[in-house]
Amino acid sequence: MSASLAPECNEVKEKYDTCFLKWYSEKYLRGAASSENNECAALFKNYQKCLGVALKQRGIDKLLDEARDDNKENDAVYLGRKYVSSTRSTRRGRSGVCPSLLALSVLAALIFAFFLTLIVMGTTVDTVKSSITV
Amino acid sequence: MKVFSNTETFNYSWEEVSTANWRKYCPWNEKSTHVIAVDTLSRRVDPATGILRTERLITCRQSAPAWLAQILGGGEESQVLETSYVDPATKTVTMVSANLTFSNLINVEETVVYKPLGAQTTQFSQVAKITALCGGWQKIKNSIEDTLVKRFGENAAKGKEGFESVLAMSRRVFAEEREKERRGDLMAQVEGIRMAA
Repeated sequence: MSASLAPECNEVKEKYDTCFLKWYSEKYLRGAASSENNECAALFKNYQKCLGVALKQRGIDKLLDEARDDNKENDAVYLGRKYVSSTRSTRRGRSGVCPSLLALSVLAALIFAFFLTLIVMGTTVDTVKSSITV
Repeated sequence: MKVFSNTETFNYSWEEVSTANWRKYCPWNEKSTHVIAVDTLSRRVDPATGILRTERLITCRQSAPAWLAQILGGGEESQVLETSYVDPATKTVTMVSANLTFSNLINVEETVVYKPLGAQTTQFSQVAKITALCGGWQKIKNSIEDTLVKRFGENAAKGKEGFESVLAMSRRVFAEEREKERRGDLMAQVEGIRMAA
Protein backbone atom coordinates (compact mmCIF):
# COMPACT_ATOMS: atom_id res chain seq x y z
CA MET A 1 0.00 0.00 0.00
CA SER A 2 1.11 3.58 -0.51
CA ALA A 3 2.92 5.53 2.17
CA SER A 4 1.70 8.45 4.27
CA LEU A 5 3.16 11.91 3.76
CA ALA A 6 4.17 11.70 7.42
CA PRO A 7 6.43 8.66 7.88
CA GLU A 8 5.48 8.45 11.56
CA CYS A 9 1.89 7.70 10.48
CA ASN A 10 2.78 4.84 8.11
CA GLU A 11 2.04 2.08 10.56
CA VAL A 12 -1.41 3.28 11.62
CA LYS A 13 -2.25 4.13 8.00
CA GLU A 14 -1.34 0.65 6.78
CA LYS A 15 -3.60 -0.94 9.40
CA TYR A 16 -6.51 1.29 8.42
CA ASP A 17 -6.01 0.81 4.66
CA THR A 18 -5.99 -2.98 5.03
CA CYS A 19 -9.18 -2.86 7.08
CA PHE A 20 -10.89 -0.52 4.62
CA LEU A 21 -10.02 -2.57 1.54
CA LYS A 22 -11.44 -5.71 3.13
CA TRP A 23 -14.61 -3.87 4.13
CA TYR A 24 -14.95 -2.31 0.65
CA SER A 25 -14.53 -5.49 -1.37
CA GLU A 26 -16.29 -7.92 0.95
CA LYS A 27 -19.08 -5.81 2.40
CA TYR A 28 -19.67 -2.48 0.72
CA LEU A 29 -19.64 -3.69 -2.88
CA ARG A 30 -21.81 -6.65 -1.94
CA GLY A 31 -24.38 -4.41 -0.30
CA ALA A 32 -23.67 -5.93 3.10
CA ALA A 33 -22.37 -2.81 4.81
CA SER A 34 -24.16 -0.80 7.42
CA SER A 35 -24.25 2.92 6.70
CA GLU A 36 -21.22 3.50 8.92
CA ASN A 37 -17.87 1.85 8.39
CA ASN A 38 -17.78 0.68 11.99
CA GLU A 39 -15.18 -2.04 11.99
CA CYS A 40 -12.47 0.33 10.73
CA ALA A 41 -13.61 3.40 12.68
CA ALA A 42 -11.18 3.00 15.58
CA LEU A 43 -8.25 2.47 13.19
CA PHE A 44 -9.29 5.50 11.17
CA LYS A 45 -9.41 7.64 14.31
CA ASN A 46 -5.85 6.61 15.22
CA TYR A 47 -4.64 7.39 11.74
CA GLN A 48 -6.34 10.80 11.68
CA LYS A 49 -4.90 11.73 15.06
CA CYS A 50 -1.43 11.20 13.67
CA LEU A 51 -2.09 12.75 10.26
CA GLY A 52 -3.81 15.85 11.62
CA VAL A 53 -0.64 16.97 13.38
CA ALA A 54 1.43 16.48 10.24
CA LEU A 55 -1.01 18.47 8.08
CA LYS A 56 -0.99 21.37 10.51
CA GLN A 57 2.82 21.38 10.73
CA ARG A 58 3.09 21.59 6.97
CA GLY A 59 0.38 24.21 6.64
CA ILE A 60 -1.64 21.94 4.36
CA ASP A 61 -4.77 22.20 6.50
CA LYS A 62 -5.46 25.72 5.24
CA LEU A 63 -4.98 24.79 1.60
CA LEU A 64 -7.38 21.91 2.14
CA ASP A 65 -10.09 24.16 3.50
CA GLU A 66 -9.92 26.32 0.38
CA ALA A 67 -9.99 23.32 -1.94
CA ARG A 68 -12.95 21.82 -0.05
CA ASP A 69 -14.81 25.04 -0.51
CA ASP A 70 -14.20 24.84 -4.25
CA ASN A 71 -15.45 21.28 -4.31
CA LYS A 72 -18.91 22.04 -2.89
CA GLU A 73 -20.35 22.25 -6.35
CA ASN A 74 -19.18 18.70 -7.08
CA ASP A 75 -20.77 17.42 -3.87
CA ALA A 76 -24.01 18.93 -5.07
CA VAL A 77 -23.70 17.16 -8.42
CA TYR A 78 -22.50 13.76 -7.24
CA LEU A 79 -24.32 13.48 -3.92
CA GLY A 80 -27.42 15.39 -4.99
CA ARG A 81 -26.98 17.88 -2.17
CA LYS A 82 -28.25 21.42 -2.05
CA TYR A 83 -25.53 23.89 -2.82
CA VAL A 84 -25.37 27.50 -1.71
CA SER A 85 -23.15 29.49 -4.01
CA SER A 86 -23.09 32.84 -2.20
CA THR A 87 -20.22 32.11 0.20
CA ARG A 88 -18.01 30.48 -2.36
CA SER A 89 -14.62 32.04 -2.88
CA THR A 90 -13.93 31.24 -6.48
CA ARG A 91 -10.58 29.77 -7.34
CA ARG A 92 -10.46 32.01 -10.34
CA GLY A 93 -10.65 35.03 -8.06
CA ARG A 94 -7.38 34.23 -6.31
CA SER A 95 -4.45 35.61 -8.17
CA GLY A 96 -2.12 36.66 -5.37
CA VAL A 97 0.99 35.25 -7.03
CA CYS A 98 0.61 37.34 -10.15
CA PRO A 99 1.79 40.67 -8.67
CA SER A 100 4.81 38.96 -7.12
CA LEU A 101 5.61 37.32 -10.44
CA LEU A 102 5.43 40.71 -12.10
CA ALA A 103 7.69 42.22 -9.44
CA LEU A 104 10.08 39.33 -9.89
CA SER A 105 10.41 39.87 -13.62
CA VAL A 106 10.98 43.61 -13.13
CA LEU A 107 13.70 42.80 -10.60
CA ALA A 108 15.30 40.32 -13.00
CA ALA A 109 15.27 42.96 -15.75
CA LEU A 110 16.94 45.50 -13.44
CA ILE A 111 19.69 43.07 -12.45
CA PHE A 112 20.24 42.20 -16.09
CA ALA A 113 20.50 45.90 -17.02
CA PHE A 114 22.96 46.47 -14.16
CA PHE A 115 25.28 43.70 -15.32
CA LEU A 116 24.99 44.81 -18.91
CA THR A 117 26.14 48.29 -17.89
CA LEU A 118 29.04 46.79 -15.95
CA ILE A 119 30.14 44.74 -18.94
CA VAL A 120 29.86 47.65 -21.33
CA MET A 121 31.76 49.92 -18.92
CA GLY A 122 34.34 47.19 -18.30
CA THR A 123 35.11 46.83 -21.99
CA THR A 124 35.39 50.62 -22.50
CA VAL A 125 37.84 50.85 -19.59
CA ASP A 126 39.80 47.93 -21.04
CA THR A 127 39.94 49.51 -24.52
CA VAL A 128 41.07 52.83 -23.05
CA LYS A 129 43.70 51.03 -20.98
CA SER A 130 45.03 49.00 -23.91
CA SER A 131 45.14 52.07 -26.18
CA ILE A 132 47.20 53.89 -23.53
CA THR A 133 49.74 51.03 -23.24
CA VAL A 134 50.01 50.82 -27.00
CA MET B 1 -8.99 27.32 -20.27
CA LYS B 2 -7.84 24.21 -22.10
CA VAL B 3 -9.33 20.75 -21.89
CA PHE B 4 -7.68 17.35 -22.10
CA SER B 5 -9.83 14.25 -22.44
CA ASN B 6 -9.10 10.59 -22.82
CA THR B 7 -10.97 7.27 -22.72
CA GLU B 8 -9.60 3.79 -22.05
CA THR B 9 -11.03 0.32 -21.58
CA PHE B 10 -9.86 -2.15 -18.96
CA ASN B 11 -10.61 -5.85 -19.31
CA TYR B 12 -11.62 -6.26 -15.70
CA SER B 13 -14.98 -6.12 -13.96
CA TRP B 14 -16.11 -2.82 -12.46
CA GLU B 15 -15.84 -4.34 -8.97
CA GLU B 16 -12.20 -5.26 -9.57
CA VAL B 17 -11.36 -1.86 -11.05
CA SER B 18 -13.08 0.10 -8.30
CA THR B 19 -11.27 -1.96 -5.64
CA ALA B 20 -7.87 -1.73 -7.30
CA ASN B 21 -8.42 2.00 -7.67
CA TRP B 22 -7.75 2.35 -3.91
CA ARG B 23 -4.31 0.88 -4.36
CA LYS B 24 -3.53 2.51 -7.68
CA TYR B 25 -0.51 4.31 -6.26
CA CYS B 26 1.42 1.52 -4.60
CA PRO B 27 4.75 -0.24 -5.10
CA TRP B 28 3.10 -2.52 -7.70
CA ASN B 29 2.69 0.50 -9.93
CA GLU B 30 6.16 1.23 -11.21
CA LYS B 31 4.84 3.96 -13.49
CA SER B 32 3.68 6.21 -10.68
CA THR B 33 6.95 6.89 -8.90
CA HIS B 34 6.10 10.60 -8.85
CA VAL B 35 3.40 9.85 -6.26
CA ILE B 36 5.12 9.82 -2.88
CA ALA B 37 2.15 9.46 -0.56
CA VAL B 38 -1.61 8.93 -0.51
CA ASP B 39 -3.51 9.85 2.65
CA THR B 40 -7.19 9.44 3.39
CA LEU B 41 -8.62 12.60 4.96
CA SER B 42 -12.26 11.70 5.33
CA ARG B 43 -14.59 8.90 4.38
CA ARG B 44 -18.25 8.25 4.88
CA VAL B 45 -21.23 6.53 3.35
CA ASP B 46 -23.95 9.06 2.56
CA PRO B 47 -27.01 7.73 4.43
CA ALA B 48 -29.46 9.11 1.87
CA THR B 49 -27.84 7.75 -1.29
CA GLY B 50 -25.50 4.98 -0.12
CA ILE B 51 -22.68 6.71 -1.98
CA LEU B 52 -19.21 6.36 -0.47
CA ARG B 53 -17.52 9.76 -0.40
CA THR B 54 -13.76 9.86 0.21
CA GLU B 55 -11.22 12.65 0.38
CA ARG B 56 -7.62 11.74 -0.29
CA LEU B 57 -4.52 13.89 -0.23
CA ILE B 58 -2.06 12.87 -2.92
CA THR B 59 1.52 14.03 -2.49
CA CYS B 60 3.69 14.13 -5.59
CA ARG B 61 7.30 14.86 -6.20
CA GLN B 62 7.44 18.41 -7.50
CA SER B 63 7.36 18.55 -11.26
CA ALA B 64 8.04 22.29 -11.55
CA PRO B 65 11.72 23.26 -11.74
CA ALA B 66 13.30 23.53 -8.27
CA TRP B 67 14.19 27.23 -8.57
CA LEU B 68 10.65 28.15 -9.61
CA ALA B 69 9.17 26.10 -6.77
CA GLN B 70 11.48 27.90 -4.38
CA ILE B 71 10.29 31.32 -5.51
CA LEU B 72 6.63 30.42 -5.53
CA GLY B 73 6.92 28.70 -2.18
CA GLY B 74 5.76 25.29 -3.32
CA GLY B 75 8.62 23.36 -1.76
CA GLU B 76 9.78 20.02 -3.10
CA GLU B 77 6.36 18.40 -2.93
CA SER B 78 3.09 19.25 -4.57
CA GLN B 79 -0.34 18.20 -3.36
CA VAL B 80 -3.64 17.27 -4.94
CA LEU B 81 -7.01 16.85 -3.23
CA GLU B 82 -9.01 13.98 -4.69
CA THR B 83 -12.68 13.69 -3.80
CA SER B 84 -14.27 10.47 -4.94
CA TYR B 85 -17.83 9.21 -5.06
CA VAL B 86 -18.59 5.49 -5.38
CA ASP B 87 -22.18 4.68 -6.25
CA PRO B 88 -22.68 0.91 -6.05
CA ALA B 89 -26.27 1.22 -7.25
CA THR B 90 -25.32 2.67 -10.64
CA LYS B 91 -21.81 1.11 -10.56
CA THR B 92 -20.06 4.42 -11.01
CA VAL B 93 -16.85 5.73 -9.51
CA THR B 94 -16.30 9.47 -9.98
CA MET B 95 -13.09 11.11 -8.84
CA VAL B 96 -12.55 14.85 -8.90
CA SER B 97 -8.99 16.07 -8.30
CA ALA B 98 -7.80 19.64 -7.80
CA ASN B 99 -4.31 20.99 -7.25
CA LEU B 100 -3.54 22.49 -3.85
CA THR B 101 -0.05 23.63 -4.77
CA PHE B 102 0.22 26.68 -7.04
CA SER B 103 -3.54 27.07 -6.79
CA ASN B 104 -3.06 30.84 -7.07
CA LEU B 105 -1.30 30.43 -10.36
CA ILE B 106 -3.09 27.62 -12.07
CA ASN B 107 -6.29 25.68 -11.69
CA VAL B 108 -6.29 22.03 -12.73
CA GLU B 109 -9.46 20.04 -12.21
CA GLU B 110 -9.48 16.46 -13.36
CA THR B 111 -12.57 14.26 -13.40
CA VAL B 112 -12.20 10.52 -13.83
CA VAL B 113 -15.18 8.18 -14.19
CA TYR B 114 -15.13 4.37 -14.09
CA LYS B 115 -18.26 2.67 -15.43
CA PRO B 116 -18.93 -0.90 -16.53
CA LEU B 117 -19.06 -1.56 -20.27
CA GLY B 118 -19.79 -5.25 -19.84
CA ALA B 119 -19.47 -7.91 -17.13
CA GLN B 120 -15.70 -8.06 -17.59
CA THR B 121 -14.91 -4.66 -19.07
CA THR B 122 -14.77 -1.22 -17.51
CA GLN B 123 -14.50 2.15 -19.15
CA PHE B 124 -12.20 4.83 -17.82
CA SER B 125 -12.88 8.38 -18.94
CA GLN B 126 -10.84 11.38 -17.98
CA VAL B 127 -11.44 15.08 -18.51
CA ALA B 128 -8.95 17.67 -17.25
CA LYS B 129 -9.72 21.38 -17.30
CA ILE B 130 -6.65 23.56 -17.09
CA THR B 131 -6.89 27.29 -16.41
CA ALA B 132 -3.89 29.56 -15.92
CA LEU B 133 -4.90 32.35 -13.58
CA CYS B 134 -2.21 34.97 -13.97
CA GLY B 135 -4.27 37.82 -15.34
CA GLY B 136 -3.39 39.78 -18.43
CA TRP B 137 -0.58 37.88 -20.03
CA GLN B 138 -2.49 35.77 -22.50
CA LYS B 139 0.68 34.45 -24.12
CA ILE B 140 2.08 33.18 -20.84
CA LYS B 141 -1.28 31.74 -19.87
CA ASN B 142 -1.55 29.91 -23.17
CA SER B 143 1.93 28.44 -22.93
CA ILE B 144 1.38 27.27 -19.34
CA GLU B 145 -1.92 25.66 -20.34
CA ASP B 146 -0.42 24.02 -23.42
CA THR B 147 2.49 22.59 -21.44
CA LEU B 148 0.11 21.01 -18.95
CA VAL B 149 -2.20 19.60 -21.61
CA LYS B 150 0.85 18.00 -23.22
CA ARG B 151 1.94 16.57 -19.89
CA PHE B 152 -1.53 15.05 -19.37
CA GLY B 153 -1.24 13.37 -22.74
CA GLU B 154 2.18 11.96 -21.95
CA ASN B 155 1.03 10.69 -18.56
CA ALA B 156 -2.16 9.09 -19.88
CA ALA B 157 -0.35 6.16 -21.52
CA LYS B 158 1.88 5.67 -18.49
CA GLY B 159 -1.14 5.82 -16.20
CA LYS B 160 -2.94 3.08 -18.12
CA GLU B 161 0.11 0.84 -18.12
CA GLY B 162 0.66 1.35 -14.39
CA PHE B 163 -2.95 0.66 -13.48
CA GLU B 164 -2.96 -2.50 -15.64
CA SER B 165 -0.14 -3.93 -13.54
CA VAL B 166 -1.98 -3.04 -10.32
CA LEU B 167 -5.14 -4.74 -11.66
CA ALA B 168 -3.23 -7.90 -12.58
CA MET B 169 -1.52 -8.02 -9.20
CA SER B 170 -4.78 -7.29 -7.39
CA ARG B 171 -6.53 -10.19 -9.15
CA ARG B 172 -3.70 -12.53 -8.18
CA VAL B 173 -3.73 -11.49 -4.54
CA PHE B 174 -7.51 -11.86 -4.27
CA ALA B 175 -7.37 -15.30 -5.90
CA GLU B 176 -4.68 -16.37 -3.44
CA GLU B 177 -6.74 -15.09 -0.52
CA ARG B 178 -9.82 -16.96 -1.70
CA GLU B 179 -7.74 -20.09 -2.12
CA LYS B 180 -6.37 -19.71 1.40
CA GLU B 181 -9.87 -19.25 2.78
CA ARG B 182 -11.15 -22.26 0.84
CA ARG B 183 -8.29 -24.34 2.16
CA GLY B 184 -8.99 -23.10 5.66
CA ASP B 185 -12.63 -24.15 5.32
CA LEU B 186 -11.60 -27.56 4.03
CA MET B 187 -9.19 -28.05 6.89
CA ALA B 188 -11.93 -27.11 9.35
CA GLN B 189 -14.29 -29.60 7.71
CA VAL B 190 -11.68 -32.36 7.86
CA GLU B 191 -11.05 -31.49 11.46
CA GLY B 192 -14.80 -31.63 12.12
CA ILE B 193 -15.12 -35.06 10.52
CA ARG B 194 -12.14 -36.33 12.46
CA MET B 195 -13.64 -35.03 15.71
CA ALA B 196 -16.96 -36.67 14.91
CA ALA B 197 -15.26 -39.96 14.15
